[in-house]
Amino acid sequence: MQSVINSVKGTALEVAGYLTPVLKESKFQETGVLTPEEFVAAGEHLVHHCPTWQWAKGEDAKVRSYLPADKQYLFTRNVPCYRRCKQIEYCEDKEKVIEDEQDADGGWVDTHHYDNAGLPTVEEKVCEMTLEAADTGDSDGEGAAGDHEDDEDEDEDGEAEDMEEFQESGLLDEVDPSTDLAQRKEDKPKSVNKSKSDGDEIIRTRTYDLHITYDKYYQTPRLWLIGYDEDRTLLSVEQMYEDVSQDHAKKTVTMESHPHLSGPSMASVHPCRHAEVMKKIIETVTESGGEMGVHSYLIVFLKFVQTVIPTIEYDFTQNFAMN
Amino acid sequence: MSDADNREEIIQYVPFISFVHPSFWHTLTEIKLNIDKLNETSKPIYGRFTYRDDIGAVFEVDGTSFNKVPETEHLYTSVKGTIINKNTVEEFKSIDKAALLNSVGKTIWENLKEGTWIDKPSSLLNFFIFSFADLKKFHYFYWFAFPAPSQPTVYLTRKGSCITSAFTNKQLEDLAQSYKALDDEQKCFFSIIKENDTIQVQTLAQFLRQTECHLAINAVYFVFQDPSNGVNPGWALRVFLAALLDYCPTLIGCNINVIGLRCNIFGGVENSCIFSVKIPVDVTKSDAAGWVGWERNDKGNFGPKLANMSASLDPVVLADTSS
Repeated sequence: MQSVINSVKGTALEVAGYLTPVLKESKFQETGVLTPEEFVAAGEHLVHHCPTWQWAKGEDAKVRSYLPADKQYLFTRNVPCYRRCKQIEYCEDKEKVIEDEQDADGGWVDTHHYDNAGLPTVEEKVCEMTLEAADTGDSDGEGAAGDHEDDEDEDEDGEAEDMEEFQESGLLDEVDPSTDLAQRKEDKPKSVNKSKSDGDEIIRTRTYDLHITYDKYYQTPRLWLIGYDEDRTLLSVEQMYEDVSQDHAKKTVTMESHPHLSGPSMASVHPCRHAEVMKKIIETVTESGGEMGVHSYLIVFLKFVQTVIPTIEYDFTQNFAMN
Repeated sequence: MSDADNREEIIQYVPFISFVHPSFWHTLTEIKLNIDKLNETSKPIYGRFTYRDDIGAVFEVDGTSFNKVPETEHLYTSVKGTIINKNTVEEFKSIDKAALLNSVGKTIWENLKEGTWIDKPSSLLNFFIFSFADLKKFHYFYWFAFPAPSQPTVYLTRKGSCITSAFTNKQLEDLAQSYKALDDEQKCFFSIIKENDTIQVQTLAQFLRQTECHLAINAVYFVFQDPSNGVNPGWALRVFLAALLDYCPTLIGCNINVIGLRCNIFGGVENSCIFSVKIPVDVTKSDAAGWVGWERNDKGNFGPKLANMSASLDPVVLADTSS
C-alpha cells in the first residue's frame, strides 16, 4: 500500500516540480533550500574535496535547462557495502532519536550515534550473525540474484528453452586459444558454494552507485542508489531495502524515476525533510558562533543521509564540526 | 628468474562481460518507436569500461550511450560502437554471425591499415551489439561483440607481475602524473621509455614516428588501460598488439614489455601489471585471419542474452502492479 501512495505522490510531485518556478534568490540561511546555482557551487566544492564524486550529464533528452549542461548531477561509482543493514540494526544502545519538535514521527533516528565504543560489538555481531544472515538475509537475495533479467527468464520455463534455439555453433571464438575462460569456470563452483550458504563464506560485498540530483520541487539535493551484487547484477528493490535503515525503508527511501536517466524507478532518499534538517544544522552552527557556507551543503548533506544508509561506505574526506 | 617462471604460455585475454542498465532499453525503445520505426540502419552508440582495480572487466551501456557526445568519467574509457537492431526475430536468428563479425572486422582492419590509429589510439577500441527488440512483450535479445583479429597468437613468458617490482615509487608517481596530462584519446594506448631512474611517457605517435630508434626494446613499455583485474591482461590489449605488429614487423621474434594500467580510485597506478609478451618468429599475420569477440552468454554458450523488461515497460504489467 505504501508503495502505491508513494508512486501516486511521486507523479503528483513530478507535475508540481514541473510547475514550480526555479528558485532564483538564495534562501539557504532562512530555510535550508538551494538555488540551482548554489547546487552547482556546492557540487564543485564536493568534487574538489572528494575526487570520487564527479559531474555527469545524463541523457541528452533529459538535460534540465536550469543547470549547466555538463553539470546536471553528481555521482560516484562502486561504493562498497559489506554488511546488510539488518545485521547491525537495532543495537538500541547505539541509537539516538534526533528530535525535532515539528516532526510528528519523532525526528531522525541516528543508528550509530554512540558508535565509537561500540565498534568491536558491531564486528562481533556480524560474526555471530553470518550464519543467520546467510540463511535469511542474503540467501533470499540468492534466489533473486538474477534479478530483473535472469530471474524472469528462468521463471518462465518456456523462455529459457527458447534461448537454446539461439545458440550458435561454428564460430571462430569456440576454438580461439587466446581467450581466458578462467573467470567463467571459477564462477560456477562459486555459485554452487553460495547456494549451500555455509556461513563461513567471505562476506558478500555489494556495491552501489550513488547519484545526487537537484530536486526542483523541494529545492534540495536528492540522493539516488543503484545497487549491484558481487556478480555485478542489479539488486532488486527488496534487496536494496536490506541496506536501508529499517526505519527509513519505504518511508524515506522510495522508488521514483530519475530526472536524468530513463528506465524503471530507482531508489532514492526522499528529500521532503532535507531542508528542515539542513536548517536545523545551520541554526546549530550559527548558535555556536560559527557560520556555514552554502558550498559545504553537500558535504553536510552526505553526512546526514548516511543515517539512512549506514552500511554503504562512501568516503568522507572532510570533517564537519557542528560546534 | 627460475625456470618455472619462464615457461611460455599462450596469452589469455580476459574477455569483457557486458552489463546493460535498464535505462538503455528504455531509451532504445523510445528511439525505435518514435524515430527509427522500421528503419534498420545501425546506430552509433557509446559504451564504457573501467580500469579501476576494484571492478572486473565489465563493459557497460546505459541510457547515455545514445548521447551524441560520450560522458567523460574518471577512470572509465568511452568506446565508440554500433548497435545493429533487427526488426524480426527470424532475421536476428538466421544471419550468419561469423560473417557479420568478419565483415565488421574487415572494416576495422582497413581503417587500421591507414595508420590513423597511431595519432588517435582510442579508435582501436570497438564493440557492437546485435539485437532484436520484441516490443510486444518487451523482451530484448542482445549479443555483444568485441571484435579482435584471431591472429597473431603471442605468448606470455611470465604471468602478470606487479608494476612495483620494476618501477620505483618515484617512477610510479611520475607515470600517474604524466598519464593524467595525456589527452583522453591518447590515454588508451601509449608508451613509456625507461632509462636508468627516469621514465618518459610518450604518445604512440611520438614513439612510433621517430625516425631513428636506438633504444633497446627492453627499455620500452607499451601501456594499455587494462579492464582486467586478474593475472591475465584484458581484451583491449589484443587489437593493440595486432595493430602494433602490423605497423612494426621488426617486433616479430622479440620479447616486448606491456603494462596493463590499473588505477585505484584515487588515481594511483601501483596495482598495474607488467606482462612480458613473446612474439614468435613464425607469427601468423592478422590480415587473412578470422575475427573473434562474440561474448558468451550466462551459460557459457555462444548465444544472445535476453533482457525481459516487461516489469518496467509493459503498460499492461505496469497497470497490474500499480493497482
